[in-house]
Amino acid sequence: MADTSILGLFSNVDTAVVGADKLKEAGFEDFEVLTGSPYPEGAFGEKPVKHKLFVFPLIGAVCGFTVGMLLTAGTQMAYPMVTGGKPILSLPPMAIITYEGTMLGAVLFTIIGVIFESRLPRPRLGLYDRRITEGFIGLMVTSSEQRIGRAEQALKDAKATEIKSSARAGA
Amino acid sequence: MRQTQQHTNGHNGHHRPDILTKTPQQVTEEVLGGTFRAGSRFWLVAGVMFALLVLGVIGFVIRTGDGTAERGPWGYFGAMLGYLLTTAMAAPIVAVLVRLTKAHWGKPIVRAAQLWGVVGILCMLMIIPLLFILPSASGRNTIWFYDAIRTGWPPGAPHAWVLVSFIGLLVLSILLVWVDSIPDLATARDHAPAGARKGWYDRLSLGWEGTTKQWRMHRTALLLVSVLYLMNFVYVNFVYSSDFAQSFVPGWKDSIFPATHTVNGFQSALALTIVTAFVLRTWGGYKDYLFTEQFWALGKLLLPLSVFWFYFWFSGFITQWYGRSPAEHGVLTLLYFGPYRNIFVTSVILNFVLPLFLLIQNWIRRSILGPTVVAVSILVGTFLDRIRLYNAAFSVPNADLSHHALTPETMPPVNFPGGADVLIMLGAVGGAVFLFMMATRFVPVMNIWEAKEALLLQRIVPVLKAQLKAIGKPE
Amino acid sequence: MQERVPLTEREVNRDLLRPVFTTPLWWWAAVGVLSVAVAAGLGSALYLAINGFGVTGYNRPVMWAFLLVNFVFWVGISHAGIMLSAILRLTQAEWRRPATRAAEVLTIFSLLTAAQMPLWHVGRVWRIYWVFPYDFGRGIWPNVRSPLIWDPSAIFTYLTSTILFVYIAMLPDIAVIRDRATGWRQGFYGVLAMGWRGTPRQWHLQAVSGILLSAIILPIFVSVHSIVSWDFGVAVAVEGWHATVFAPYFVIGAVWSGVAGVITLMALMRWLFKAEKYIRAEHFDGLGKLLSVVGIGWWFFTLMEIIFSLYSKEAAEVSFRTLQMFTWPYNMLFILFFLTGFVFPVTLFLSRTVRHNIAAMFWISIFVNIGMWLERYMIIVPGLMRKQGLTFTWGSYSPGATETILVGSTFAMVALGLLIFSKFFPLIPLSDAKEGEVLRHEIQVGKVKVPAIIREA
Repeated sequence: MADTSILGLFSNVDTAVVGADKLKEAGFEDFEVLTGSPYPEGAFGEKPVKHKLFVFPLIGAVCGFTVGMLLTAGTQMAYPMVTGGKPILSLPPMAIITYEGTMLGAVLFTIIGVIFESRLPRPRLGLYDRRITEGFIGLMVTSSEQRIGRAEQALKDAKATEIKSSARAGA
Repeated sequence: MRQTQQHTNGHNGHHRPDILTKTPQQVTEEVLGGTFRAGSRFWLVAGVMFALLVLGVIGFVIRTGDGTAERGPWGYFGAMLGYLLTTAMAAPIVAVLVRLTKAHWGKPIVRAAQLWGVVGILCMLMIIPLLFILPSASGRNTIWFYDAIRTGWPPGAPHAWVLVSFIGLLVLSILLVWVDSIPDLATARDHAPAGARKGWYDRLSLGWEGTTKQWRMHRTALLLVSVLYLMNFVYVNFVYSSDFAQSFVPGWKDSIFPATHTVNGFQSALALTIVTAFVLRTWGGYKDYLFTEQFWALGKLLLPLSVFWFYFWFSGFITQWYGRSPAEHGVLTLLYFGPYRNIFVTSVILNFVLPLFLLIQNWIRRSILGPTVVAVSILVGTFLDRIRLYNAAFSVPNADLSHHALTPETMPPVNFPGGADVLIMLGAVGGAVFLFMMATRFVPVMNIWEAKEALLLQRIVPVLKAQLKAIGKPE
Repeated sequence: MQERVPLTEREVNRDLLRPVFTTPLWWWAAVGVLSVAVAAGLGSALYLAINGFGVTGYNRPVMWAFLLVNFVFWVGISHAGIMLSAILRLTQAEWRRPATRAAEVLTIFSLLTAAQMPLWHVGRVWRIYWVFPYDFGRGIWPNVRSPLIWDPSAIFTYLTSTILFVYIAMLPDIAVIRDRATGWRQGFYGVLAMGWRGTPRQWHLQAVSGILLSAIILPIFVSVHSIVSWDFGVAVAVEGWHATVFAPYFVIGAVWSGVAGVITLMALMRWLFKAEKYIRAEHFDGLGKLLSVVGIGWWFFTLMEIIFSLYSKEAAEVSFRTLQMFTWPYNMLFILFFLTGFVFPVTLFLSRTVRHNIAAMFWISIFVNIGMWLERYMIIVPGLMRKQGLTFTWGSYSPGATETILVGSTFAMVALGLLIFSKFFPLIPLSDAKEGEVLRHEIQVGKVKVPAIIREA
């Protein structure tokens, strides 16, 4: 039995907060809020976001550092030509290129991390409304078909401007 | 009201911001109470510091027996002045920067940072004997290009110019403390019991009444003195690091070095401010004024400055290492790879590696103990770094001063500290702390007028369901 | 003076997406003119590549001249762009909001332009791939001990990071365009937006990644211009370049010129895109204050460089400085550099009236960059002219038509890039503007309302 999603749209922030409260009263704790502006954390009483983004740059940095070290050491040993009186395996220049590698690795992995932790890419947008990027607030609940009616009622009680459903959309 | 806020936040699991929750009257009473009266623990510590200062003076007297012909014996003395310049005299820079950027978090720490300026008295006293060991500028490389025979210009170089910079440092540091604290001295005047103390407050507060015009004047004056202090600080670092380190080493031509010295100063200034804030919070009775926010913000600044510590060193190092001329080779050996290698490596660890790996983690930055531990590490690291730097430079004998480069034959050995040097080191640190402690007896170490300003301009406001801090930014 | 007015999300969308959805006539005209200029530049570059360096004014010992002056200049501009954005994000400076995107995009296009300069400068441009470690067959590898290899690695890292940073920070705005676009554009922005919906998790990660990426890119930014300076500074080949201060000196000079470039760009955006509501006098005020500090700091490093070059009184240094400061025509250029690069801008930036006058800020920012272009010229060309100790090997340089056209066209390249970018994406970040509206607050103190900003954490 597939779960159904409904999306309640609110034309202003204050009614959306009421909607969020009503959803909680009806027993729906993990609703999603869709907004067109970044609101401060906890503005809708939603759960705080937990993520592991900080792990990504560390992994990236370690990878980049390793590649940088291997590349600089490897090329000097494979082609040991002394230039400018500097020893083969000169640490200061190796440190510079390794540093760039480390930072590049950190950036690349952070980008991957941001995309992953934002739960993107999302090939199908799913239940959504274009007006969200125009100031509407969307409250989305995904639940079994039996319970979804209660959520819909809660959103209606909060005077949602419109309620969309994945079932009705045929998705 | 407060309870409901905490309730909603506890429910959401979001952090509630710290904010000063006192009435202006409470602030006045508490801060002035702490200024007028001190406990026995305070006097015990102050007594110990004074004893150290006395020991330092004894060490100095012993040292004078070595005469001023050679600089070697004075290495530790010079290093301690360099250390005080990069720590105590740099601390007011934190206050200057907080004021210039109008950083709201800095209000509770600016006064403490500024009060370190009183150590300028000690610096002034310490530069006098050093002027006697500073050789004439002719016949060697100096920033003054002084050629007594051909031009005789600039007159008095380098001695007069060093002296001028230190007089400027002393005057401006005292001026900065005074100008900043005029409103608080007036508050103290109004609350102090009759007596000599009240008389001094009366004289120094210049009849301050707090009119709009006075506040405007005060703002302008403070800005002006702050900027002048910053500029003079850079100048003093330039002069001291060039005249008392770089120009003593043959072949050392390092245009980044004065900047490095200054930037190290900014780093140590933050470190000293953090340690001061920690002491004030833990033992000074200012728990309700200093929050994690202050340590967090200072820690955030300390991280880039610790990275800068390495960056400025490396920028100079890579150029000299790559150049590979005999002069550069000699300088690198003397300063980093030869006699002082271990002490150099230790200071790299304490000033850069440890701060980097600790402060890069937000949970350490966003605590009170974390930044404090890092700050202590930096203060120790800078101490070692200055010992290395000035001893290495001072230990080059007069006979080698005009050489083109240091060679393995002329490379001076490590200058290990003798008994007098240990006394001097203890005395300089003890004397600085003693001066600071005495200053807090007269000038409130917590800024009363800015604490009151914070009360006006900082609020906890509800944004829908979240409780956040709003900061007023009057233009 | 335009004061701050409250805006709804709908208004923000309408105002800031106007350049994306409508194309005024001036846009076409500008693109047309700039394209001609870019074509001229590429034409002269091809001419140079085919005929070799004989067609330029280059001759021994001045073999690094106009092209590399321009390289350092554009790398400099590229630097302050992202530095500004990163520092302002990290310090949560409220006046950053309209400036960040423009600064970052300026970084991308100026860096791309800068990277072209060494490309043409090497002469045999078709062998540029030699900088990469590719030759597994014969085992000949690039010399990693050379700053000329450090440099491409740094620029590659910086360019990649900046492009990705701009893209990630632009996701919410791309979603806004997706929701307004029709036809093929809807599909295009749909793919780019990756299905962004604006959940608290996504917004939170935007905030965190903005700070995290800024914190990672800042050290890259510092390293890139440092390495550019080491191209000149580390070797003892040219006495005047071998100064330890070069790295921070170049970096702060880059900030000085680059932030000025951002001011130029913001003034143009305000006028061309009619963004008066978003780019206000207070933003120029903030930038001006920042620049007055940066300008003085930069001058401190300049003084260090000059003082310590003469410190050891070596003949090579003295002859270089004599040429640079006291010999015609370089003395005239030096005075021009001193006035436009330091005296005028710094004194004017200290005045609040000037900082609030946008036209004045526009012209001063251009002055700064004239000065900074000259600064690089004054380091590179006179330095090389006195490269050798023996006077009979001293040389001279006067720019030829080929490199002059090429250098001139780089300004058109950057402008064209920015114009085309503005056609596809908003140069003022919508989400930042919207967040600014959410976090606005006022505190009542007695009879006045003090503008306030709400801080998270």
